[in-house]
Amino acid sequence: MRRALAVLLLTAGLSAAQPADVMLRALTDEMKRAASELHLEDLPRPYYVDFMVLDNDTYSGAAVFGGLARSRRYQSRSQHVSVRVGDYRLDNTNFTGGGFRPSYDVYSLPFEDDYAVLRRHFWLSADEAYKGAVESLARKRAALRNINLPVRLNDFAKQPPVEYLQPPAKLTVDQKAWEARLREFSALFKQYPRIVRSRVEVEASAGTRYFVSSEGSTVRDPEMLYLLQAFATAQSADGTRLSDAVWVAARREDQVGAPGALRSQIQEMAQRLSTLAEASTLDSYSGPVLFEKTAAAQVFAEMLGRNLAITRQPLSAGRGGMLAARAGGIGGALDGRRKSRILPEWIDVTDDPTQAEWRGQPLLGHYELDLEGVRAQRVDVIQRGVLENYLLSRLPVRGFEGSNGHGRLPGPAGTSFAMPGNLFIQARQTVSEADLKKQLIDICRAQDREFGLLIRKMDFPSAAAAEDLRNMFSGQGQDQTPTSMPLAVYKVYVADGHEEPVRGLRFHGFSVRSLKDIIAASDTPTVFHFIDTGAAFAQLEGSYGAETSVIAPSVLIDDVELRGGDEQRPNLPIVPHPYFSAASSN
Amino acid sequence: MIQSLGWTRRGPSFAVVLLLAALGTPAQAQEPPLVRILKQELQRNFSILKQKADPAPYFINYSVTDQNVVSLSATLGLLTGNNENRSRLLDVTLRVGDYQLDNYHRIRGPGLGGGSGALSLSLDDDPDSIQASLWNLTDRKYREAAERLIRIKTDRTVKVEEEDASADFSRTEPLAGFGRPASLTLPVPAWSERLKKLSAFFRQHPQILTSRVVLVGESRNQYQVNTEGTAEQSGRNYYRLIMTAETRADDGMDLERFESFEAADLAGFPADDRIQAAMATMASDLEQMRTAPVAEPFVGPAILSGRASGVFFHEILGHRVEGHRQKDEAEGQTFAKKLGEAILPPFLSVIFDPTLKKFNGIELNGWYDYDDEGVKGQRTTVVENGVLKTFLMTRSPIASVAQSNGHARRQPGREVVARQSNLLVESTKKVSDEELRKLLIAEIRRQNKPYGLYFRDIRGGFTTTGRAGLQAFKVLPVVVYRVYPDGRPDELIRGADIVGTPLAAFAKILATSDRAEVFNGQCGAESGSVPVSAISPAILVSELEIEKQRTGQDRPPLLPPPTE
Repeated sequence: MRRALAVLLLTAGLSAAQPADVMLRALTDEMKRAASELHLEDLPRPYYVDFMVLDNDTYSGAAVFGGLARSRRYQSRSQHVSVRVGDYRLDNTNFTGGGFRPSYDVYSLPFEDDYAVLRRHFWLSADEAYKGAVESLARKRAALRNINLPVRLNDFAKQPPVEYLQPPAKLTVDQKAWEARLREFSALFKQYPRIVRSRVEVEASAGTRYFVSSEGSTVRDPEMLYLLQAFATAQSADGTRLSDAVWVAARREDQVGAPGALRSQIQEMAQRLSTLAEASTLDSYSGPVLFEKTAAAQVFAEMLGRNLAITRQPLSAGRGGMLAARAGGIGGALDGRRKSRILPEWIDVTDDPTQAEWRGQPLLGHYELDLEGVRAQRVDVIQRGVLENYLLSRLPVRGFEGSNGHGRLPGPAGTSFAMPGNLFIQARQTVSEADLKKQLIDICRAQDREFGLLIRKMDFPSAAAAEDLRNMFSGQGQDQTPTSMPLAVYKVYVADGHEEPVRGLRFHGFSVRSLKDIIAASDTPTVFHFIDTGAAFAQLEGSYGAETSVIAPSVLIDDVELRGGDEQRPNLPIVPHPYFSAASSN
Repeated sequence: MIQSLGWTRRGPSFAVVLLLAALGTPAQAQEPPLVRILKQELQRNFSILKQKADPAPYFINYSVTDQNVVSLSATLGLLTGNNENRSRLLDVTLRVGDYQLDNYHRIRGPGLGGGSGALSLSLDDDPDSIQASLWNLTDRKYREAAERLIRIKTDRTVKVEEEDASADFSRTEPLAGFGRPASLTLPVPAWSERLKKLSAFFRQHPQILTSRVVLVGESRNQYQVNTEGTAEQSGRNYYRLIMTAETRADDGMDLERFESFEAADLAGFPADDRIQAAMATMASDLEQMRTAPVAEPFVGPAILSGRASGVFFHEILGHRVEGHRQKDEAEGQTFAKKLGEAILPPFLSVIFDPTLKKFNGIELNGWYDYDDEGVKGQRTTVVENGVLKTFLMTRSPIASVAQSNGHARRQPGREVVARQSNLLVESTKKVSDEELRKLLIAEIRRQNKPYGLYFRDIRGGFTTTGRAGLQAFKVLPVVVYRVYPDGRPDELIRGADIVGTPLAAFAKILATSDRAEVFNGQCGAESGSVPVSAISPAILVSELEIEKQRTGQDRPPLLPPPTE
């Protein structure tokens, strides 16, 4: 009894004198010890150490055609330790020849904040990271003796420390209510016989990132995410499969949208997809294309947003610095094009993650600190059509050193990829949406065309199954960076302006260079949100993703080439769908 | 391959075999609603495909694995994991062609790779949702099957005749039976507290770098319906308590110990003091192993404990008597033509018994009512008094065996092949443990060796059976002693792996102990991970080879453990 009392008193005494957050205290104390004391004989001591803990509480549910297929809540706490030896000019990162290392089973941290046990976990991780770092640096120095680098870039950019402490994120989710909603939303597809496969998923997660570095940064950064996805695949009479999705993401549960609004969104998508599945095909088209609303934002997201960082290949130990694959294989199209014209001179592009909302709409791409603990900054990327700046992480790249707070995805060999947050495409000359369509018709008339093309939605991020994606790109050349396919495409007839859906078209030679051919933009920008995982077509895979918002007007592009798909098509099912065939025989 | 988190030796020194399957006769339940849905959609697809498809299917099987897995883990008195995952996975097997030649015929040369994955089904017994999913996967499987049959027919025209001309599928009697459904009841808060308390034990052992106590509870209900008329459901509950601890020797060798307890229900676990005693043994083993001498390559006499011997038989014999390997021309076929011949010493028999749920009071991992082709699991004597009698069979016949003995197994999402269940080694030349040790010492003296070896515990093993690889095996011991003939105490060593080739190894078994032990584990092979057990007495072998283990070279932590 007396002993229990003594322990209680001691704890009380401690909490008065120490910062209340046990996690941050354990992180800071062990990080400081690692930074100052870790050393192996005459090998270098760390010059930089950071410790990060990701705390996550997630609910994940899914339903198919009215039946619940998944509903689970799970917690995880993982740690990531980065130790750099050498100095900012040359350290152990940016090098792929580090070799395999054994690792302790300490990745999963206890859920409870126990100072001693947490420190023990950090102690072992830092030990491992340090040993790996000194070995990598030695190998890297050896490799550098045989390689002549034309330009010697530093390995890490110095950054002033930040202190950013927000209360941890807490997940409140009504599991039963979501289960009911998932069943209801997934049953909506019972009204659309063209749709052969569908699925509705929801994910709600509360994440808290703890980050401390030997430069003096201390971060406790909460992040909430609610994600609702409704996928559908329709099959045309010729076998071609078309996939689309409703994708809703929000930071607060009340921003996901009322059930009624979500229901209409799903129905609208299902209806459009059913219509498109029955649309006629077109062999080829080369001429003006109007990218309307979401489609325009999607084009900017894929073509521009993913190319606004300069890529840098890590040094490889193997064949004299040959390339080491960049995860995801995106970006790089604008490397070395600073001061070149990318867009018409009446368009500016700014990335501004510091804005939480735009005209009353919350922006998903808003963040305070990036993955490297650097404060988000507004960057004027393109001014009067000319590329002026790049998005930067702490990885120095040719011509630039010093982060502008855009290190958002983990890159290879201890680096981070720079990605946009809120990408604003601002046109100085605009016309109304109606006039934009009229311009399309006018140009077509002048060119003696029967119709022009209007695209309302792109398949980006792709909603197609991996199997269908493979089929879709079976026809594309290997040297071409595949471009997402247009999903909702309409012929706009010159005679009376009426629209007719067409399907099965693929871009040919459509790239960031095509954006120079924008001839007009609308005065009503659309906000488009997505999560960029860095994968091709931004397919949702892997555990990291950069939430992004693109705010862009509709645009008319002068000369775009599209061709009818000549990909493999699956046969139509021999057995009819069980639900729709029963319904039709009644 | 087999891996496990091991088991402590315990129980009496004689074997009491409890056949629980024969004791409890669960009331024949009514047809579950899911079975009705499966049957209905199966019939609809089968009849339309038979009418309209070319080639038409002659057999379709729907298999649903409905499982609920709860896992809790703790370290040093704190919870590190708390997961519950309920899933319903659908596998569709669809055969086009006929029993003689169908789309499952093995194509020689580069294969088609594993299965095409299971589909996640609605957890609700919602007919519309489930039927839509069944239809979707049936359609995909039909396309794949039809395409594959064409390839097979071309392959047969192009290549020389196959050695084994047996049919691709055998006929069996349809089965109908609905067992008691399994369901999981795991009071999470109470068990979290218990795991926290148990895991705090290692706080007294700071030299142990990482440790974990994990409870996994799994209830699994298997539903199978096929076009021959089989409609069945069986349930199984399994709980496992696993303890792991790791440390590192000064020379960088990573050292680990596992212990586990298995139970059919939570009441089946021993009291905390028994569990803590096992943890204390782990801690003292690791403490001794840290400073133990490193094994040198050695060939000489050895005793494998019952658990070690079980793994030895699983790798060396078990994987080589899996039926499909006798037919596959890429396989080594060590025993394909040895039916009726002696392959083991005459005092040994090897039985595979999926009907056995417990052995010496220990819950077995490798039991099941029906295999993954809906055939009842059957006790199968593969080696009798040293003579090879049969193989582990699925419904895919081989030249020498026509019928299944209920050993078709898979992980959801894979295609079935013949796999092991509960392996039992039985011996007629058995002596007490003390006597076996005396025989070992005599053998050491006879061979004029400085010492022999005693393998007390084992982590797992693996083997290669293909023609392209070496016909070899490796067993990964964790607790190994040198046994000296001059009466010196046994000396613990570390870093030894057992290596060898199968046929040579069997000839060297001299005798066994009279006390069998159980190894529960997970076996990995082409049809995925399946639960298995291996039961064996300790064996004395005249010659065993060990080699140095591949190990890390990292030093122990540079800084002392943090202190408050």
